[in-house]
Amino acid sequence: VRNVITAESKSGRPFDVNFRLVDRDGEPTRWIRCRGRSQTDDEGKISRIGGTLVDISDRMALQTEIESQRQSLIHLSRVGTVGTLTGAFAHELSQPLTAILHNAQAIERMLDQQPINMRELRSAISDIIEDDCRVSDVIRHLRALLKKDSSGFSQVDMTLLIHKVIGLVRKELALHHVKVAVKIAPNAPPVWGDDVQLQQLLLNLITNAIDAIQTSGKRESALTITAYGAGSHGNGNFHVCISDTGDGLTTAAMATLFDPFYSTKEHGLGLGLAISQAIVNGHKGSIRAENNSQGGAVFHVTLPAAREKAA
Amino acid sequence: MTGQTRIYVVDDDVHVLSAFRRLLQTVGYDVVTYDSPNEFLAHHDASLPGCVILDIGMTELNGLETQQKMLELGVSRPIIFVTGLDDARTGVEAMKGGAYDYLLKPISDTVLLSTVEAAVSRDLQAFREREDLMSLAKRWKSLTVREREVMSQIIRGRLNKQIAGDLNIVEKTVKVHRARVMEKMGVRSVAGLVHIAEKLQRSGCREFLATDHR
Repeated sequence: VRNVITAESKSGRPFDVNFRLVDRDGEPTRWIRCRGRSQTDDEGKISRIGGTLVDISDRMALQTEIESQRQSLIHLSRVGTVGTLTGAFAHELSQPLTAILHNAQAIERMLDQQPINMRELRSAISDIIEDDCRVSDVIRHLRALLKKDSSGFSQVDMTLLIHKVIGLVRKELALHHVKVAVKIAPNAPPVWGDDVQLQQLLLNLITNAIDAIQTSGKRESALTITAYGAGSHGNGNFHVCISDTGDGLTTAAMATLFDPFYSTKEHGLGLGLAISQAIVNGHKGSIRAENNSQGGAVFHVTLPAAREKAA
Repeated sequence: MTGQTRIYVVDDDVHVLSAFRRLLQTVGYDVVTYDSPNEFLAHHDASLPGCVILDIGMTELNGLETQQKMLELGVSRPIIFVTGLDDARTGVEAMKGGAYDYLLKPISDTVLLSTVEAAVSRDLQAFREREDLMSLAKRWKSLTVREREVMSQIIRGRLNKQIAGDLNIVEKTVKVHRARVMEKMGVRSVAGLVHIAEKLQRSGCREFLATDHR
């Protein structure tokens, strides 16, 4: 603290530092904000330093609390999102498990037969091993989706992420006959962000779109994901639009869309879009919704592009 | 197992396909697998009795859509649906579409094999009934126009005398026609003839329905 104040004092600029007071007698640590400026005399020496000391411990504690609440809320809603994907995961797991089971049953029967078809036996066993690896992959994937601590910010390839999320909901899409069109412009820049949170954001918006399509029950249903870059290099943006052919949004829904606990779904908690907005805000981006020409809804998300690294 | 049956397995997961094939082959079935429902629809052989094991969650054409296509193409092969998703609505839709059974993966081998066996035996019976009907229709088509007229009178319980009056022929001739009808249709009693007539009626044999049976 002294160093900061001394340095700033010499330059004559005002200073503003937060520091901790650690008490040896077991009193809780206090946060102090020290603000002020120095005055120098004719010779350039510091004549006096004026300022204020404020105890901001409560405010700091509150901020930490809010941040940790936000993180756990985001995590909780991710658990919820994964819940809605149970069907997809059940299919992903039951396919290899079915194959393993029937191969094992076949092997059991093959061993009772004379002569034993060694070639079939071997290929059945090698299939079992491969399928076991598939199961492990699904579990690893699920674990990555559920892990609590975010991996932190890094450069995220949104094209890759969009395809990954579509892969996650592939079975849901097939089951509800939803055709997906993905149009990603080659200029779409990477985003500076938390990949786990961004994946959750896309997952929320895409599962919402599938739900909207399913509820509307139209024969021809489509989900369109368009992404492109905008702005100059260095301070550009990444835009993604997720458009569905559901029944669209009413004016009333539009107004309260991002409010927590607002839901049009029977079993919805109403946190999906509130969380999506929290994630977007955390990335210094923006999200808005409107109705599209097909009568469905479209969500626009804008995220700041990752700064180009010096080549 | 009779060599005249065939089991089709359709699933877009090749590992699941070969596992099903291996298991069914150990009990001697003739198994043909397709990882594409469209390929199955294009290549399957309707002249062989058997059944089809169909996965619900296929991406190209899901199980229910494949079932619809089969109905449109007039393929009446029994369908055993298999799925990893326990969704009541899909199950109801499948059964409404005439599915033989709806099994949740993973399936025990005894359940699978007994279901397949039952489905195959039902299809075999359906095939036999179809063949039976075809031979009945063939017999009926071998009747002359006059014999058909006499037959439709007999099954309505008319006496030879009444028939003779209606058709404006002598009773002796009616007796000759009656004997011919019984012989050609392969029956000995009026009751047997009525039974055959009902079968032909139910089967929707077009020429038979077009004939005046009043």
